[in-house]
Amino acid sequence: MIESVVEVKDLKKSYGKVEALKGISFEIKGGEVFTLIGPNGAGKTTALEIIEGLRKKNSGEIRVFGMNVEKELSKIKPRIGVQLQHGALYEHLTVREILVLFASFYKKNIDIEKLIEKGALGKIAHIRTEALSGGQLQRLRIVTTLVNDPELLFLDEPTTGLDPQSRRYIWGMIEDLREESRTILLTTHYMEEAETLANRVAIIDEGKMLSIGKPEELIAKHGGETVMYIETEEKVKNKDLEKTEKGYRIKLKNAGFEASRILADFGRERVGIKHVEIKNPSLEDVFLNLTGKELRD
Amino acid sequence: MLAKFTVYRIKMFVRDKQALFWTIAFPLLFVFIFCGILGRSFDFKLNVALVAEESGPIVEQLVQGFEEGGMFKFSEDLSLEEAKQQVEQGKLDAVLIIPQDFSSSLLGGAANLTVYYDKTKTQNAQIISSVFQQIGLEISKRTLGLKRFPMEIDLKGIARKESVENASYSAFFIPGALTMALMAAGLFGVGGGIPRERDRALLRKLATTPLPKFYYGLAFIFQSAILALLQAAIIISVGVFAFRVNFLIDPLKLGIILVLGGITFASFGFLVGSIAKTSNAAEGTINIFYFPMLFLSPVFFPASILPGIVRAISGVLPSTYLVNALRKSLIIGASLGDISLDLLGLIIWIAGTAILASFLFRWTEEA
Repeated sequence: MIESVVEVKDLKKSYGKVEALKGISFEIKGGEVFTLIGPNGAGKTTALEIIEGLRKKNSGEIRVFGMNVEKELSKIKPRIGVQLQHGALYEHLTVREILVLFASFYKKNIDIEKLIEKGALGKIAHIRTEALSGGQLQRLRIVTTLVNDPELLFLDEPTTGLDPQSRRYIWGMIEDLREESRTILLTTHYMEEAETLANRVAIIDEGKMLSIGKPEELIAKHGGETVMYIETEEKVKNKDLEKTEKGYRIKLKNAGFEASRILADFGRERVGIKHVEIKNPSLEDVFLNLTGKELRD
Repeated sequence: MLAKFTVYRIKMFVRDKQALFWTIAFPLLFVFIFCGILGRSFDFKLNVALVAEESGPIVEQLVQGFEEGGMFKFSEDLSLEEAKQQVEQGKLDAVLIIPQDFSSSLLGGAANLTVYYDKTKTQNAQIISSVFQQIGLEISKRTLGLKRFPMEIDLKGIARKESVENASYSAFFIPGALTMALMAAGLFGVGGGIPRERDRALLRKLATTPLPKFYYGLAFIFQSAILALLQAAIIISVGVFAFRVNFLIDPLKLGIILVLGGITFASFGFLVGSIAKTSNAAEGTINIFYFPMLFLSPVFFPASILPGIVRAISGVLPSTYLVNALRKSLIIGASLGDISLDLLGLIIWIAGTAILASFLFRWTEEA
């Protein structure tokens, strides 16, 4: 029986006159990676911090492990791990000391050496955190959230600003955490990250929830059609094709079959093709269609 | 979790070069400048009053011999009572009394000399006794043809009369420098450290863990108490070894004063760190407290030079209580009972600032 680990109902939050959250609702089941996607200022971090107990809501209802966040935070804290979007660690302590220190705050602990291994921090365990690279520091920050063997993890943009190699490594770490059936609430700017890691995605913009679902469901619902781009310098007599700068494009309803039929027309007319691309809709398109905005870092 | 946090706090402090500079090196710099210029520390001659109840060639030769040794500076125009008083006040190191029948007793083979010395300087008593014996033996051989110096030296310690003002400037200033060091550790270390951790979102991170706010504060308090002992060990050692200050060091008593002093400023710092939301705001707030406290309390100079109203304010500052307790204990060996009012003053400051801070401290603006 998978129970809901986080329940958020009609959550509202204002900073002065600015409405950061205009009533969002969602539910996260045990063991799933739930991803909040949205541009900067959409309200992702505000939502996370209210659930973590770092901010106060204006109205709405939040339950974590079925408990009231405001009244029972002390019972929730030992069971969660929080990686904040920004924030340093003690720069004069070494990697191992940071883990030992944070572990000392909890009654339940994971073996520190295992955590060091998990974060690939073995070679730098004796180094002070002030000397770490961005990727190393981020791995440590994530591993720091695991010292208490948490059931629920909050990862707020864990890969923003990292090089592709570090990003891939962290994706691997998050996949491992998912396999250990921990529940994860993740926020990200990167659609690829959401598609790779998320069981379900929620798209949020200007404090409103635009859509929630499995990535493939959202793509099917909001992603639009598959489009084929054909690059050529010659002309063809197909009225369905739309002229573009470099050739033609066409929206495909039945991707595989339609594509081969059209390309066959090119062959019959002996028209040379320089490049063909069939683009399936992605979360990026879902986002674009729902918000009318490009996602930016 | 509290013990570990405290140990790690100390580690962080000791590894933080800037913190070490402001809390140890900087006060030491003051010690070297002030004691170097104003301290009369490099005068190795002992000031001895000579009260001769007998005069004559033997006595003259003896005194001359003592003087030629280069260790003593004799003054001969004081009465016994006056001389003893000056030892009590720390103006003289010793009084040498040559009794009436000295020459005849010496020749008879059993003379007595009485030396009154400043009890706080036991090493002086040893110097006086051994130098007198040695020089005495030389003179006995040379002029009296005796093979030994048949003289007993009766050493009598005089307790120094309680007066901090009579101390050398070095002895006066080193407790001041120590107070300055403890103030810096509490105000800049703790008071500046908390907003720095807030700026860097470390407090937000801690807020998501089960660490109680109370423990966060206590770790700083314990850190400061332990560091106060370290600061004192270094600064007092410099005073004793580099500036030859004779402090009366009772480790337990001194420890109690230092721990209370360390906690006072840590708690004060915690209050400042709870009020100031950012590092920049904290810096200003700290300076508002640090400099007036430094100059209004008798850290550098005695309170007696301050005008009346200012002296009244000065009297209730935590830095004043601390520096007075340290001076009375180190210079005149005052007991805990003698400085109980100073210690009470510190305890009241601790209670007041800690209670206020515990109401005002927040992990984040909203939690």
